[in-house]
Amino acid sequence: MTVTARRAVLLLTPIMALIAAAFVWPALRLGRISLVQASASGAMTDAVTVANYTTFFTEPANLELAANSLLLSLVVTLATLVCAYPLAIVLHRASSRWQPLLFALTISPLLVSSVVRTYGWMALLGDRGPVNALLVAAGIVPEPVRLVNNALGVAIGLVEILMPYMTLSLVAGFGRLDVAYEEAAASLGAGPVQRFRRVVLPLTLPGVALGCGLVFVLTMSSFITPKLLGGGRVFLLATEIYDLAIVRLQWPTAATLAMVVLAVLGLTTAWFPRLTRRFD
Amino acid sequence: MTRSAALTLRGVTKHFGAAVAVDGVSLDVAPGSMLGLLGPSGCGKTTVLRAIAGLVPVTAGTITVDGEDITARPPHGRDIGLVFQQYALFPHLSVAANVGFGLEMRGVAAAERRTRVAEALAMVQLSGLDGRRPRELSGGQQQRVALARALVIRPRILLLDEPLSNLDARLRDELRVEIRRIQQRLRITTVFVTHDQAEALAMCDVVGVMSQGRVAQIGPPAEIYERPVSRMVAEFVGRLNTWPCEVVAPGRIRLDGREMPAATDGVANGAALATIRPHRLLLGGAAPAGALNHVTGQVTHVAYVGDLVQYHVAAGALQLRVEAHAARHAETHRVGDVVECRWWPDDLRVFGA
Repeated sequence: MTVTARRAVLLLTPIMALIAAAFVWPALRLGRISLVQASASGAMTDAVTVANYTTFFTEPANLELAANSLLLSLVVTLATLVCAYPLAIVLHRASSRWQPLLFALTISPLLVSSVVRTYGWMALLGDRGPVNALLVAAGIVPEPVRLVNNALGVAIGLVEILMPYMTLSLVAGFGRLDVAYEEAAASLGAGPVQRFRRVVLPLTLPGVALGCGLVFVLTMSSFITPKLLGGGRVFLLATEIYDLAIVRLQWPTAATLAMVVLAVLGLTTAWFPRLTRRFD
Repeated sequence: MTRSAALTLRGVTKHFGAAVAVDGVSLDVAPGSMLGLLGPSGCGKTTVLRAIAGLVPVTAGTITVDGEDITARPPHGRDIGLVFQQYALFPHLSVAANVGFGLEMRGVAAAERRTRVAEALAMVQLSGLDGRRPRELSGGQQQRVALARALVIRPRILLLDEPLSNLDARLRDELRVEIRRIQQRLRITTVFVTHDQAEALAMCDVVGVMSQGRVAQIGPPAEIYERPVSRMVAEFVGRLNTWPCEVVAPGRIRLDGREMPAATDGVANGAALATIRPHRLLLGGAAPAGALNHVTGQVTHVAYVGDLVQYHVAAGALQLRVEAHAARHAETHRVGDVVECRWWPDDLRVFGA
């Protein structure tokens, strides 16, 4: 082993040990539990079986859960991207004098727990909340619209909660974006729309992939916000796992669902970087 | 091939907040000619260029091309080619796609685009590199691609922003000749911004020296170099000896206690500065008999720089910097030699102190 390689191993050891103890080991345990056969009473036996998986994939309700989760994650990811992209452009272009302040403002929502923010959204979006009051007063809708206790409420809450992550990821991936490229494109006759489509967007794709990958993963694994803003009427893999494990105590089934989510997230994180490499 | 257009600036002014970057610049660039904007950094030359390109809106003044006012037009509606100091080649596009970008924006059909991109790359001697990415090219090659990209759209005006400042000296000389050759062949009206006086003098038909947002002097290179209107211009376009003197009468000064003729050009009697270029000081036998002014001094320093020999000569209170060509049979001097130093009176130019 060369000195550099030895040094790299040494530097990586603490985090590798932590990941092994706090993530890999529990994940393996979880995998083992997903292969446990539960007795009729619900007690776990020592028998090994793949029945939990075959049940999951043959039960239409479970597949609907998976479809709900994927759809919500995709919608939330896209909505977060649309909301965070202009903000990230402003942050990227801000002068070095304003940038620290703007960054602090961007991440300041993270100072408040997402549970507290979710309760905030429940108050804001309720039938008698200020958002509905405003919509009715402005004459946009004749009577209050349902904004909580459904998928829309969950999506609104998640988009706001995840925006700081998306914004920071976008800015981190905007390294190649230089105003000179836009000026060059303008001098060559490209109008604002063409400049965005042909120059800005391709150069920001690394950030887009990074942010979308992160937000997708975070949405898939979020359960407090869907649970509270969904009012028990939005069913997702993550909320179901929580229910199975904590309320109904069906650990093998919960572990099976968890392994399925882990597989989806693993595939997502592997696929997103590949997406950007194609444009490089 | 290119329609040569006339570029005119009238009273162009640009304020950045309270700071005045460009202060009432008026210029005329004749069709097909090349104007060099020369000046120290921060003199406003790049802002003038960016204003012509439409990248900075002007505070006041007008910019016209062939009599047509383009001051209010957005950059993408100006039909002006621009080469950036850092090239600004699109990193995600191939060389061919970079050069073809402007044609694509103009809706030129793919087949014609290919032909014109190939022509443009041949013009800058880069045929065969179409498929490369900018990062796979050397600095000089990137510069050529940037030039091809700006010229392929057949712009009415070409703007060059310090295009050679990121290249090594040898490549710079080579590209200097090449850019000038292409500019003359296309007869394209060009504005060239540089802080390198040799570049401006060598390449341009007309040179404008800028200082603090204004044009200090504009004229043919020889006029700028030989008859600078101010000490700032004189110092900026070449090396200079500067001595305090006193104007005693039109055409006569007192220098280090001795009266002698000099080019005073309307400088009032009293304290002033006498200036002369180091190569206009002639040592010993190099001076013809008619060269009137002379001082005697002692060589204090000799630097041999290949084509030139630079001497420092102390003559009374005067410190002289002298440059002589290192010709094969030229007389050379050593430290400690006592030498006679002569010059033509009209080479000694006097400016107000």
